[in-house]
Amino acid sequence: MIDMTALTEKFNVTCEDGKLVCADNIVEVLDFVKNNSQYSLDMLLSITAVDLNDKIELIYDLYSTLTDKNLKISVYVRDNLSQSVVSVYKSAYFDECEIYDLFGVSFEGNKNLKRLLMPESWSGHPMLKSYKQNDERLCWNEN
Amino acid sequence: MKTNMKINIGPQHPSTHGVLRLITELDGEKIVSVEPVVGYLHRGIEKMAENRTYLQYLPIVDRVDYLGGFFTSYAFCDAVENLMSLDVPKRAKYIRTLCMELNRIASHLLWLGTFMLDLGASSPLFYCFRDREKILSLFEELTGQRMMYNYFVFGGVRHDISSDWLDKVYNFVLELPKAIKDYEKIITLNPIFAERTIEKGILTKQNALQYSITGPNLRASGIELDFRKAMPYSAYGDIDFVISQSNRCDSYGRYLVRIQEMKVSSDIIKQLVNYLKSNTNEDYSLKINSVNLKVPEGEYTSYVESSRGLLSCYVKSDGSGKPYRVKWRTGSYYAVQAIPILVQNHNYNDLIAIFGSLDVIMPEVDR
Amino acid sequence: MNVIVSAIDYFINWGRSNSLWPLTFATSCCGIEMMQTSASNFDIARFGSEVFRATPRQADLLICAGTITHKMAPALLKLYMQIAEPKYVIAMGACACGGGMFADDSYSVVRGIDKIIPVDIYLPMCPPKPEALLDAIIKLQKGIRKETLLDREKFVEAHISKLKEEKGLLVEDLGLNVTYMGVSKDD
Repeated sequence: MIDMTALTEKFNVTCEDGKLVCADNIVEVLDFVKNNSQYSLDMLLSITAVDLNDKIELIYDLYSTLTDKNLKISVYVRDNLSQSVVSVYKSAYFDECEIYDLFGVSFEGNKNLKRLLMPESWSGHPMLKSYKQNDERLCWNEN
Repeated sequence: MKTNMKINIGPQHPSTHGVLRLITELDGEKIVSVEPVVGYLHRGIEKMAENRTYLQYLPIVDRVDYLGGFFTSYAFCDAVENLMSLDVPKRAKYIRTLCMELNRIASHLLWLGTFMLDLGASSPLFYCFRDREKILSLFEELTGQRMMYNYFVFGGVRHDISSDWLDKVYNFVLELPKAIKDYEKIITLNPIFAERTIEKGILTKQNALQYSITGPNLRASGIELDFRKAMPYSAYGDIDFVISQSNRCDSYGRYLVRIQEMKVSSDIIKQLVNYLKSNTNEDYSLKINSVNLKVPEGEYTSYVESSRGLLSCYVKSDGSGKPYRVKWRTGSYYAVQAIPILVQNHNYNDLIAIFGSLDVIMPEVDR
Repeated sequence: MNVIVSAIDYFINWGRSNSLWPLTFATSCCGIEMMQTSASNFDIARFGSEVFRATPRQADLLICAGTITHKMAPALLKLYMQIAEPKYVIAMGACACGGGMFADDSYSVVRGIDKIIPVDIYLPMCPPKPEALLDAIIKLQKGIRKETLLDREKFVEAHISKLKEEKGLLVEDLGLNVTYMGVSKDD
């Protein structure tokens, strides 16, 4: 595991359950840990979104191929708007489109944000806990 | 005035290995841009976890990657076991590792057959399927299923393996290097194969990291990252093996890495069989009752080196009998993203050849 | 007259049943078993179906091997319509038959392709073994040998009226502006 105290002091962020909790400065933090030779977290393994009912948590799973260490950074999204990290890690594009598609979170700075998995004409964001399918033809429910 | 031509490939196309759609823009024969469109096999496997108990979800995880059901099974079981702080018996770990390595060989064999078919060679397909069928028969004897095994349970495996079955596995592994030698005789120095793969689809180190490519594709770009070594799980900590790697960065390198990996896997299996045959009295499972399994609150991500790259399963539990959130991270998902940069400035006929070398399967991408 | 028709039927059906060319329509897991069926060990060529066609215009048989999602449904319908008559459909696997293990609560899976196109043979199991697919093809061949020229039209008509009754996915739901199996959108 990576020592997070230096990072919490530098960026004025908190640490929770072994994850670094960032806010609007996520791009800045990722840029730093990627390019700083002390961390060199050169790979973004995945972005996981979790619906916590009142907010959505995004977990960035970072990995360093040089030191074999990984770091998890989480961001709490409250008004369905977050910062895009495509400028730092290109692989984030699909992840962000998927989260936009399934959770309805928009990413500022992602120019080509679109539905990735569901058809363009789909309404609603299926992975949200509150999601209900309202198109009767597609529900296939007998009752 | 010159205009570029747009060609739509898929979603139904014999060479896109499922239901991938590629919108290509061509300038004559040259590819200007490619836009992959995914989602044609999105079945909502992640959402289904939230409506099911852990035991009910277990058979479904095999469908995340149908060519590597053991990997996905293991990733989910591992995450749940870690949340419950269960210590899996050593024999169970070895049996799981044995199954996963056999699965890796089967998956690579299928890749080899279909990749050669994409390049227009049909006979390697028959050779590969002949050998893959042997592994599937072994799996069928062990689990009762050819593809969706549902053999791993929380705390071990469903039932013990017999020494008879181990003998069959050992015999198969002894014969496999001869079969691989046969493939190499047909393929490795074949001039047509060389022409279509060497210097084609260059994936530089930098791009591989930028696009989060893992597995054999990454190792063919000169980065020695294998999660079996980097984060040893199951029985890999006790096993001696080398990481297969190549610095070529092209389609040919990816072929070499996978061929090498099959040989390494068969070496690993030999070691596992030797251990399992000499230690028969150990427990194969904790035999916990998982019908009303309550998993303590928490979250865990398991990392597994599957045949197509890093497979990780994130499980968040809220203390009830159902997972709060399950997320699958798969290797193919990121490989699809890298297609546009791999095929840039290549001819149209190289598109399928390069795509085939990445070993992408669609259920992993769409889930 | 009947004698002549049945004699013609016999020869036509003999030809049709022994050279069913399938379309390579493999969407998921079952597709791998379909490949295995066509490869060594099982050898689908013994039943005259080894010529897998990549284009629907040259195929007679649509083996729907795998799950169909809402995003894929228009493509399935389009492919079905592009196959020339006579055409036959095998729904391979539990997903294609009725949604399979995704039938209960998946938000994106079509519950059986018979909500979209008429199906001749249902082949359950998840996934079916290659032997089962061979059995399905033999059953289909037996069925073809018994039919007369007028049967196919009735079969398709019955399917469309069933779809309308059940409020299945009709052509307007899929957003395709084409005639659906001879019945135009306005009918």
